[in-house]
Amino acid sequence: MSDADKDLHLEALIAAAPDLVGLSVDAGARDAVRANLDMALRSAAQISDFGYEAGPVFRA
Amino acid sequence: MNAPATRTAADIARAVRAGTLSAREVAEDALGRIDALNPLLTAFTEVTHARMLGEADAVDALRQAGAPLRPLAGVPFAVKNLFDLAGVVTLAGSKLRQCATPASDDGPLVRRLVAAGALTGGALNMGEFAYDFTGENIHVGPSRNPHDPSRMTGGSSGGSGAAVAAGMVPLALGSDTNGSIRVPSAFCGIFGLKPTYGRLPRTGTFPFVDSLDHLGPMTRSVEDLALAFDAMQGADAGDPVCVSDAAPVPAMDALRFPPSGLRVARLGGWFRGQGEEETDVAADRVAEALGAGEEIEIEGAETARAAAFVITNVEGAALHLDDVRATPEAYDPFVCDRLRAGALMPGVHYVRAQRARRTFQAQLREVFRSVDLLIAPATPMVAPPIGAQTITLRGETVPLRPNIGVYTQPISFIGLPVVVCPVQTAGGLPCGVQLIAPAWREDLAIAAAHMLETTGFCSAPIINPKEP
Repeated sequence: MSDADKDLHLEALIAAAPDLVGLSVDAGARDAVRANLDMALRSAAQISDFGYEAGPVFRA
Repeated sequence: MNAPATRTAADIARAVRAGTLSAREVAEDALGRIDALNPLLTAFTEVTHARMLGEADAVDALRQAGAPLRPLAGVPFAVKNLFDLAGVVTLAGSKLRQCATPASDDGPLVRRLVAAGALTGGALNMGEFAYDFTGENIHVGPSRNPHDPSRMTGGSSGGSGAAVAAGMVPLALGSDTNGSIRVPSAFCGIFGLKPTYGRLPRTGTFPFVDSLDHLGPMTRSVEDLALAFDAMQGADAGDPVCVSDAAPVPAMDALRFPPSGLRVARLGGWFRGQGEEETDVAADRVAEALGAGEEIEIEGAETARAAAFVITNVEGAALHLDDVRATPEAYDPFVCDRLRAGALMPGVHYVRAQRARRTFQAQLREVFRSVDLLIAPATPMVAPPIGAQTITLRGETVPLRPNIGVYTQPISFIGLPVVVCPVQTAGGLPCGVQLIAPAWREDLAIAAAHMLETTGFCSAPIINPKEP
């Protein structure tokens, strides 16, 4: 995906935030939220699917 | 003789039990030092003067009555302000909670310390809602590093790091989700223990990320770390991840009867070369002092760190969603923007991040079949200047905040116990080295830290801060 396409996707996600999670992101915060979302999605992209596991409960 | 409050917790308790020092003397000295230094360091957000003096008088009354005194008799302590203290608002570093009802009771760890004879000094500054590695709080001001008050304490348990390093109290409690005990311990040059996930109950604390939250002590000596840890161990019905079937591991026994023949390895790969060279040098020196053999690389550390980032972002957002919707202006903008982003993360990424834990955990279990202790830097840099947004690491300028936790996040991700040991760098500021043990074996890391301390390799002297 090109950087321009990625920006469009991030913008679309932020624009949909009121409907998705009841959050509005004002213009002043838009760039910072987009940067944070970009970082989170880039982190997520590093995670492979490690297969089925029954629930997220973890014990050390 | 040293001022009473600036002695180690173990020294204070020994003197109080022997009757050569009264708990009242200790409390008055500690309160005087807190009141004198706090305007500079902003370590405390509330000082419980009357409570500390009352608890001190109770300890002295017990001694005068000939009753046996407990292991922490007369030892001042303070807690990050996300711990419930009866009668004090649990701020969790926020403006949002300034009007909350004060806690009706102490949390279990505070109760256990007081039952062991410790004296409650108050609540400590922290990064907002613990979503922070710097120790900067926008609402009350940054906690300041006693080594150089123009520099960060690290966070989010920044007040805890400053208070212990400056000798305001010999013992503080912090919390650690991604490194929030280990980072300020490193930047402030003190010892810190992040126990195994599930070892100490989180009941009576304001949460951040349930999957990753740990609590633990920060001190200027390993013996103090062990004393406090022993006083706090044990399950609590209020925290479902605090397992009742894990037998307490007596940390003081590890000091009296240290294990021999520890198999130690330096972590390489992800855990080398990401920061200032002196932090790698410190870890190398600690590894050598502990007789480390081969250097080990762990595949998947980068993924572990990425997954910890996702879990933190999403769980934090879920916890705060209603408040971010209703009163975003009450948040630190840095925190609010991260929480908004977390609210927009697709759920599949969160589930995949959780699944990565078991895989990484299995890898480390395999490593610990042939090794007892792993060594890595705690942070890739010494304490940066307050307000810094970027840092130059090995010639490249990078954003500061996301890089402070690169070495701590993969470890807390799977809940392994870690002791951070302070090491002086050639530049004069301290850094920290992580001693990482297998799950439920805090005793191994504590014993190794004690060896480093008794041989003079690591130390945490009291720092008398100077105005910047």
